[in-house]
Amino acid sequence: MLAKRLPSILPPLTLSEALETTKIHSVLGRVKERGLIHQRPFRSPHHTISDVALVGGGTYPQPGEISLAHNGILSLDELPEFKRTVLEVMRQPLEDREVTISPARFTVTYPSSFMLVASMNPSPSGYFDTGTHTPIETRRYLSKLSGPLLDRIDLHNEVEPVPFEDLAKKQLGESSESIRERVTQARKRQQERFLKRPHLHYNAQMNANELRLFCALEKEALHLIKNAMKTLGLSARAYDRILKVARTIADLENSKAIHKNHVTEAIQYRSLDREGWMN
Amino acid sequence: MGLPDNAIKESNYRIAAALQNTGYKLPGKKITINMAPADVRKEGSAYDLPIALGILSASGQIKTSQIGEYIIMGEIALDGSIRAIKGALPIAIQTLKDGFKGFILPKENAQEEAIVKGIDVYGVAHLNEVISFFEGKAKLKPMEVNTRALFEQKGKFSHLDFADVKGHATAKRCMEIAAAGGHNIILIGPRGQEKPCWPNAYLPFCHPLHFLRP
Repeated sequence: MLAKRLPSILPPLTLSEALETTKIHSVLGRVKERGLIHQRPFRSPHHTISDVALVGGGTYPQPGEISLAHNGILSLDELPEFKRTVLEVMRQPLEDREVTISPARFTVTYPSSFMLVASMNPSPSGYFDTGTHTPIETRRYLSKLSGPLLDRIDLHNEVEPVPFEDLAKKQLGESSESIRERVTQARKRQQERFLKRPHLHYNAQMNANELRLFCALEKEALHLIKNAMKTLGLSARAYDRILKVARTIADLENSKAIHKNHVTEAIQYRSLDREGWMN
Repeated sequence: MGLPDNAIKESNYRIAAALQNTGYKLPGKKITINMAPADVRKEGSAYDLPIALGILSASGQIKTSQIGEYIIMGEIALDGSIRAIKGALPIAIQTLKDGFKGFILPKENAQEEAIVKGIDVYGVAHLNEVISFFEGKAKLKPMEVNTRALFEQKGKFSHLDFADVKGHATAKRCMEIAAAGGHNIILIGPRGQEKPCWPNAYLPFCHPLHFLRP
């Protein structure tokens, strides 16, 4: 699976991040002889998971999957199969990067700064064409995903079938190591940019203010995004996401300014916002 | 008293047996143990060891004034050996903040704790060790861990490599951007498309099978 390979290209944990993550795993008694967790956690709970197991809670509040995935990846396979309430309780921690649980008497706050990697089929039958089920069934399937949840996901990617010629090729693709090298460089550039803002570590964390400050567009790029929003019917929220992603693409290319081609690529990754897909 | 859960309520059986097996005894009076603050729930078996030492010191079976200078946590088995606890790292960090002299805890947890710099961490395996430490008969050796070294021996990143993924150029590019900017990502694909790789990418998972071969 593609998502399972994602940890192989993430930048290594820093010592302080490792300590934070180890603390949470220690609460559940999962550290033992390893001593220190030195790899980014990869959590992929099954879709039958309950609200409490995902965000944490219980009479004696325990951290949930989102906190165990702190500084790592939370992978949700078959996203529409999850209970709707489970997906909705995840919204606040996705935004705040921590979760506050208050069972009966007291409150606990656990950190939950994770990267969400979701995957889904385009329809209940699993294929793009709608021959085997009605449009109503498809709509019901897709309506499990609320707008606010999708708004918190920056990149939408439609995975297309691989042509046979590609499958049969003996030649290997680019290795994770060389991709990781580029990713680490891009992260370094972000850290330098956010030097004066200790709460910011990477582009996805920027708020509206910081977006305005760090993601100023060139005239040409501004014109392009204006046109795209009109013709594709993109929302104001989508606009923010596009800016963030464009910033990251520019960072990967070691470009100070965000150019037209960066914005074009970022717009491509908003396929679920476009008219006709979800509504 | 002090809102204990069932594991704590049962600890008097464990402590009684452990004390008997190590040559001490519960005083034949009614014992009240107050776990303050009274309105916060306590859970887990980690309070066995401090309760046992409290009883021993209050009943005069061990004479020491040092007991208040250490944070002590651990579950006691019936024979007096000490078993692992949960949540030791956050406790260790708190120990440091509150200015205690050291932290006595089960040996199995000691590695995890020694990461915290600035306090002495003592891993113990049996109730006897703790008692003779406080009576001044024996010394405990603080656990030492080189956090840097522990952190740097990272080993391999992952068995799975993007090199095994055929095609899917845009999906890979998306992953790269997501990783670089910490963005959330959703992959929408027809059935079976998320698993496009050569069988040998799964080989690392198959190794245990060789074990069954004659």
